[in-house]
Amino acid sequence: MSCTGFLYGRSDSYRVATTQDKDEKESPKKKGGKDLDDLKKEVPLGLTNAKAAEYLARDGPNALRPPTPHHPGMDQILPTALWRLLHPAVDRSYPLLSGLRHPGCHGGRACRRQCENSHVHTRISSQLHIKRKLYLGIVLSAVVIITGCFSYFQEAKSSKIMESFKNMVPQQALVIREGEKLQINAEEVVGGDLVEVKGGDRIPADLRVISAHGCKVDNSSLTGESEPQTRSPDCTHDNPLETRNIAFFSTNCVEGTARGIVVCTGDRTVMGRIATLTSGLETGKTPIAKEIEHFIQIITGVAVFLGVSFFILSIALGYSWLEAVIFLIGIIVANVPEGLLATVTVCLTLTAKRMARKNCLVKNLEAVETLGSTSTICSDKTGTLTQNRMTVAHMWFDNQIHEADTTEDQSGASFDKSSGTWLSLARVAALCNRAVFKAGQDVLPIQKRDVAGDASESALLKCIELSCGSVKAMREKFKKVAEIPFNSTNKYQLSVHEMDDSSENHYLLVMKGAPERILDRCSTILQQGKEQPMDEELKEAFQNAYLELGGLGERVLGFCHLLLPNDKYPKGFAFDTDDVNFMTDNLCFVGLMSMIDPPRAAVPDAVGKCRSAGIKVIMVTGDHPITAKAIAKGVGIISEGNETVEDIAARLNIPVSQVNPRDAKACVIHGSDLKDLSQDQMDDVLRNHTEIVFARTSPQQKLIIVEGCQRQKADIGVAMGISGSDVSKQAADMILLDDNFASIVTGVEEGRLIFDNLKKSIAYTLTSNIPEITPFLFFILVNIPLPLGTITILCIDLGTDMVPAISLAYEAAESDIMKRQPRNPARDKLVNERLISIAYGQIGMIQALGGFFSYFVILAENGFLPSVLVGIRLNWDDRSNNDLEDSYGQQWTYEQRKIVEFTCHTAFFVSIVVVQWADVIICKTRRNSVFQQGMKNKILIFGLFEETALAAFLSYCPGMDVALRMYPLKPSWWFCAFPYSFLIFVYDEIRKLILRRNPGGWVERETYY
Amino acid sequence: MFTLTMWVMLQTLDDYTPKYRDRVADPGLVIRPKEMEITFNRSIPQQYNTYVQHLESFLKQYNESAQDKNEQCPEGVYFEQDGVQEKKVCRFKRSLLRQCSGLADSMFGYSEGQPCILVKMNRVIGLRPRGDPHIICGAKRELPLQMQYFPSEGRLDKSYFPYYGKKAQPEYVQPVVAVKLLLAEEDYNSELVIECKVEGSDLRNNDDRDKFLGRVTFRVKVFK
Repeated sequence: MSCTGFLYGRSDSYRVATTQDKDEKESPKKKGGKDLDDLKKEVPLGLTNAKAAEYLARDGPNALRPPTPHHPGMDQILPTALWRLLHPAVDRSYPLLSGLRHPGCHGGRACRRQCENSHVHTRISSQLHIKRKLYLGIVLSAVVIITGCFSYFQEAKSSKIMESFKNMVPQQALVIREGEKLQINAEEVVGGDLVEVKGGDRIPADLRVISAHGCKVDNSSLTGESEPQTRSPDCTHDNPLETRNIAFFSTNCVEGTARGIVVCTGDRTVMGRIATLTSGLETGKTPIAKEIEHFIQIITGVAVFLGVSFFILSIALGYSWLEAVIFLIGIIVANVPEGLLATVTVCLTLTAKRMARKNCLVKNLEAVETLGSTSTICSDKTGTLTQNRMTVAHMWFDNQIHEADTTEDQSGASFDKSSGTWLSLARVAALCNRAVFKAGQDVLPIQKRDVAGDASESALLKCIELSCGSVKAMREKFKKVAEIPFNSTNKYQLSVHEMDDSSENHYLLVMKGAPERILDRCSTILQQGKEQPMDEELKEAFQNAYLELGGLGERVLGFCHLLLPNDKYPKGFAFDTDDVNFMTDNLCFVGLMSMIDPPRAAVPDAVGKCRSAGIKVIMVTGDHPITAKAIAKGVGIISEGNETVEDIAARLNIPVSQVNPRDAKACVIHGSDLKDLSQDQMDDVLRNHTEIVFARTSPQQKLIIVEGCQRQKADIGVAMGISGSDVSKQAADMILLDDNFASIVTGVEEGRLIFDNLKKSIAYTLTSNIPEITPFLFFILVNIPLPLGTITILCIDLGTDMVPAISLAYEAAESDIMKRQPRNPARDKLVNERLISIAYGQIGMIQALGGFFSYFVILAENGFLPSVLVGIRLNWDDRSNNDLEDSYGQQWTYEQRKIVEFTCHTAFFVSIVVVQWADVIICKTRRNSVFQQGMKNKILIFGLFEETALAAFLSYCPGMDVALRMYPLKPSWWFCAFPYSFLIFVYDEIRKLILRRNPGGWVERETYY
Repeated sequence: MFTLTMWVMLQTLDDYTPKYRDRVADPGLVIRPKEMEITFNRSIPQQYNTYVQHLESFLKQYNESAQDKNEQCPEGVYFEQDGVQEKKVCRFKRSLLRQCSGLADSMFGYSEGQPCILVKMNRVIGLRPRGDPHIICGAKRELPLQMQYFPSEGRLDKSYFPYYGKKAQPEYVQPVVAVKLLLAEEDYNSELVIECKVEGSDLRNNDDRDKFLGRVTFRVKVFK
């Protein structure tokens, strides 16, 4: 199983499940083991159709029930589904609040107006206002719906990709019922069915094997073991996962045939239970959801504080209770940044897309950031860290170790192929080998071709094909006349081949097998193509080479051959393989070849990145500890110079028990030891060792490890490789499309980047809240005409601020984000007080001043000097007052001064756009200067132009005065806010300069967000 | 920073005229008493006293004593003082309003059920209405309503234009037109919608949105 879990503690629910599980798992075995002979007698006819139907009705179809995902499926009633999907990233209360803003604010204002007005036209104009309110309501609903659709489609797209993973063709199974062989849908297989499988089939359910012929299964999706395992009717182990007579659901039969009785179906299978367990892990909120919740708390806190203080103030100022309550609601809802929901969703979507391009498919938008906050990655070895194919890595001949090329693209070094010994070795490896390339793959590069045969033979086949040309031709030249296949008693494989006529000898005997067994049978050894007697020195050289290769975690095979003497074995000699009638000792040793599943090229680099990023990488594998350790060292999971307890013991020549475990940073833990570890010991191991390898682990143990990791930290996410089962993929938040560990690192990088960029984006969006709210406050406090209206606020939040805020998601990282420690969820928040203080307290205030300045400029230039404005509100908003005098003695009708007021709103809006230019530029960086960061973000530059163009459009487009009550500005009014824009830029550059000069100083502590 | 920019901005402003006057290109019309619905019973003085007091206080600035120091300007031409340093103000005596001046009839006709309504045009700096601006009122109904205008024909004399602003002409008074509604017996006890417009000049009186630009609408209901 190429499962990569990156996990931190949570959840306790499945602990019980894990323990229960073991007892249940025993049951199939016991049942199967009751009496094999009885069974054999009983079953040849299989179940009756009636029985099968009965069982099917009782147990349900033989399929894994998809785990209930934390977002509802498409089959739910659309509205509910829509609502839940609408806000995957944002707390439910948030859009509710933003929806509230409008009824509250407008209802309030309309109410006030109606109180004030006694004019004949009130009726008509309030109708007009109702229309406008309706219009706003529609706009807002549209925003919420569009945002919702956005995330909905993103998720729908991911689920579509998910669908495509599933096999379109339903799985078939061959069952025997009422004595007849039937090809049925695998879903219809029931417990007790007699099933036949052959090489290439997928096992349709958990089977108790009752007869087998050379049957081998690939359990890698279950145990991670890449080596096919033999299945036979014998019960060889108490553990159902280890015993040979059980074949597991959803694993593959590689070769041979077998018959078995179905013992478990569907979710009750081992795979099903593991899938359920895996999905049990995935609960709780993702880190980003928590962050957003925290953010909403802060925003609400600020809003409520402002609202309540102004409520008290307005009461003190003599407003009526009703008005004060209206103000309270108005202020609270005015604090909601409407655009933020959309911005966050879009930012996350963009990152999800970017990650998908880099082979990281994110199913749940919230999970985008999860990888970024990862502190521990538990990775399976096979397929993720390694290429999941055996490859010849080393050879030993002519008393020398040669390195073979193991890279994925054959770019590695080659070795000397001219030696006669190599030719002989290649011949033995090619001939004493039953693996063949599957037909019709001539166009494919050799490495990519499919091979029928076991992993090590395929490795040899490919190696020889690569270095010596066609193995097929060689096999045709030396026809096979006899063969003894590998078995566990003699531990070798042997074949006899006919030599061509040019040769002196008629027959060539070739043999491969366990090196020590091969050596025992040899009396001579080939050196530089010449046969030499085996002496002690050479034997020792062999031993050293064998140990060295074994120490690398490689599987070593020995090769030998013998040209059978013509006198004893004349042409036509009948070789009998059952009762061996030819010599099988005193052979000539040729060499050793060793194989390994080599690490993927990008993995060591990725592991190195993880390490510098402060992420602990734990390898979990079903492989042998030595192999596991070798691969771990190869990819850097155990880094150079770090020793395990055993290494220290070996170096100091003392028993393992005397070594202080604290001295060893690395450790390799065997699955059988893991069983005996208590929870505390487990925690101890995880805490005190930086480099951990778990070898020989079963799937259950993998979960225990994950659980251990969880206890240390807070959150959990599940990432799956593409080769994982459908069910586990459904449970996962994230899928690595290329099964490559390096993709996780990409995910981490992107996740960290989006976390930083979301901060910037939020800082940017929040800043404009202050110039949006202060006009209302001053309207209440000093009774000036309203400087900024609701429509213009919406134009900012949903119009001009959007693209620049989103463009910050494209911002490049400021420094090497893979060189810092993972985010501490308790300390490093998405939105903290410092961000609020910068956005609201500092930049926002300057922006508000800029806006007010243009407001005063316009009113003053039209005749209303600031001195007359204070306290003018009641008269200003009085419809019946149509001769309001300005500072110059001119008299204004209501409509005339309202046009000026709306021009002010437009100018205030334009000013916010202008100061937001500076804001987006300063938000690009949190520490660096813009001059260091550069202006390479094209989307951001586009955003600057876009918001300016939009502002100009809103101001100058004919008809806007009617539609949005926005009026054309005189060109000079655009420049009012320029000094403030410049001030913001300079202010923040200076702040960042001090921050960089004085690391850890007051400025950093108080303002670095 | 804010203070600085505000100061700079205020320095650029002219003391006499605002920088932009395009938003008040056309003047609005308003009536006195400043009510949109004038309702009273002619035989109950308490009901119209507020209107009368309002008119009286409004007309104070047009008193002989106040207007005596102002210039008697030639009629029918603009009173141009562009180059003049100390700007004078044209005289508008309240006696011009005759029956509606409140001098002869201190009740402005309210007690006899034929109320006077004063119509004035908003002050706008530099406004020079072309043609012969005069106020015309009409009831919004089939039958025409008899009315009397003071000064005659409801004329707004050109000599009161242009206005040079509060600082240059602190004593400026704008011309007023009084409309005496000559209600007939059948007009009592019913609501009359009356619209007054400025006609005979280039001043706008038909803006879609601004119902007070060059016109004003009000309701009158007098009980017997």
